[in-house]
Amino acid sequence: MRLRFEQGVTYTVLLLFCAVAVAPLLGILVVALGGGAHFDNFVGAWNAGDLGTGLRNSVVITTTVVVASAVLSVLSGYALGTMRFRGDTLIFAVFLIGVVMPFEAPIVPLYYDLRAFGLTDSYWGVILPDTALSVAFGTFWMRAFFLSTPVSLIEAARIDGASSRATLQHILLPLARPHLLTLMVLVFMWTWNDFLLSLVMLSNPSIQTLPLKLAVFQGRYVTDVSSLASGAVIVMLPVVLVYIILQRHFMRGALSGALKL
Amino acid sequence: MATVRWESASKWFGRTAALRDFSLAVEDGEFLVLVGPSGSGKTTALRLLAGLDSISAGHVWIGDRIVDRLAPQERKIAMVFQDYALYPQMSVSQNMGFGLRMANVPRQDIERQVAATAHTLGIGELLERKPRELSGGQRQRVALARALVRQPQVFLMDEPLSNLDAQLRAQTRGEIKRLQKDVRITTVYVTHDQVEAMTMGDRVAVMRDGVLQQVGPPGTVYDQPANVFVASFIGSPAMSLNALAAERRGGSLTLRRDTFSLELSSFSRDVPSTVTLGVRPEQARLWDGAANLVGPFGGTVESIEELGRESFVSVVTPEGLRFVLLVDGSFSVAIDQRLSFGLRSGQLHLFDGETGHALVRI
Repeated sequence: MRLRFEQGVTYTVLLLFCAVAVAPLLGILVVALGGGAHFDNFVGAWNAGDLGTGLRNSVVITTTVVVASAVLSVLSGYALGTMRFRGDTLIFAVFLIGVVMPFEAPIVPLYYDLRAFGLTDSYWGVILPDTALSVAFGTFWMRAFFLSTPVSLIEAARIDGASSRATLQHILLPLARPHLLTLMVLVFMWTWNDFLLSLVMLSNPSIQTLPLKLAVFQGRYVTDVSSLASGAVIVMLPVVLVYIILQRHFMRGALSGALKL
Repeated sequence: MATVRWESASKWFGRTAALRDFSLAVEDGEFLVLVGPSGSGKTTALRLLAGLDSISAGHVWIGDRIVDRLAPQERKIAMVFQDYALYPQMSVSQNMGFGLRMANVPRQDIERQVAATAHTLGIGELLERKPRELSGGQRQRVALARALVRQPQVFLMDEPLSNLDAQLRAQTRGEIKRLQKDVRITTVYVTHDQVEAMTMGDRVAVMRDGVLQQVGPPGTVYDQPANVFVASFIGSPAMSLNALAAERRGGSLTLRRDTFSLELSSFSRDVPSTVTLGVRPEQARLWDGAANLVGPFGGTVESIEELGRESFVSVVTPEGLRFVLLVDGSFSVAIDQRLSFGLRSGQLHLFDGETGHALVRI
């Protein structure tokens, strides 16, 4: 009886939070559809907002950032998680600064720096800072994974004659897959949804990303709500799809069976 | 096949010495057991040999080479880890073949060697399974197979049986020993379990606080412990150790504490004024007046360990001396019961009361 009551309370609370989280999304979807199950608003928004260009730019930037930061995070996390070398704590502390510092803080000097190098209004102007930011977190994330792997696995590989690279490639990376995929999804989301950095760095419409393109629908005097909503749905869609496709890979018990019970 | 030698090997972690001036030679094909409590340096000695830790001072030899600066993979060794350290994502055959693959052995040769080794260890039908699909005993066997398949010069084992249940452990002890005799690969085996040490080693090296205490065949270490520590560590139940005052008078020696007195006639050696008397359970018997017993001494039963065929009875004398007696399993005894017992002369150990070094058997 008591158990059932507690369960009831749990479900009520969860449903409440669920509703709070989903309500705005549902609202956007309803507005986008314009009260009926037709897709004219989407087509209209796609053409009016030049979302095709935005999509291409977002894909190029996000893919590059995700791949680059995954590779770099694995390498730096592996070094910081499994090796001892002079200055390792200091280097890790520097990475941590990247995690805790609010990104808005250095964005203005960053703009001037990148402009000096002629990198503003280019893909690199967004790819480089976004990768740097992601690698800070990614190093932290992958280091935690490599620290959690049993040392004896690495030592067994060393005795078996595997180099550092071979140990990473054949032994640890297959185990790290769920961890790495999670990281890649997070970085994908952050990069895809980024607005501020793209806004500062990209003023040429031909290389603006999807979220920037949404701003078109919001003029100083008018806001085209239904087009804005439709555009927002288009921007959201890839993130939702990626999450749904990859979620079953998250955090599977990859380590089971390695060790004693 | 190779000999192994530690030459004044030391290892410091910061300011603590994990291993101090450790010198020991292992013969070709020998089964050497390093035994000691945790923190005794036995695992450190093994890891220096494996190349998993760097040596702080001294040298490690494998065969006629100093290997101090060689990476583990260049030392032609194989190791069985306490947690087995099987690669979880690989099948048993991939686990076994990994070292050979890293050495660029042709694929057909790898398959042939893996199959042959798997056959030897009776795990042929497990080759396609993943480690998580294996029982503890099977994993242990795969770990052994993975080490064996590489035909190493030296076999290193770090408490490989500590995760098995008692029955399987006893069985696997015999198998590893037999296997080692068959392949005749020099083996260094680390354990904290003195039963494993006694039953498996050609020689046993007893360690404590990073220092080698004694090395010798199991029988010698048991019968002639070099000091109080070895005496108490080897043997189960442990040797009874009691501090006594020693008095030489004429040709006899008297060991005394309060009213407890043990007199030995025709004793001509010099001994310090305080000594430790060591008595193995099998050298302490119920008093039956036999000629080889000294006594009788009286004591009260403190605890009883019944093993069926025999029992170990712990008694304490009025003077506070404690002895463990080996008695027949059919002998019925109760706690707080008073007993008379005797000690077997000629089989008792005398240690220096200050240094703990063995003096003489009495």
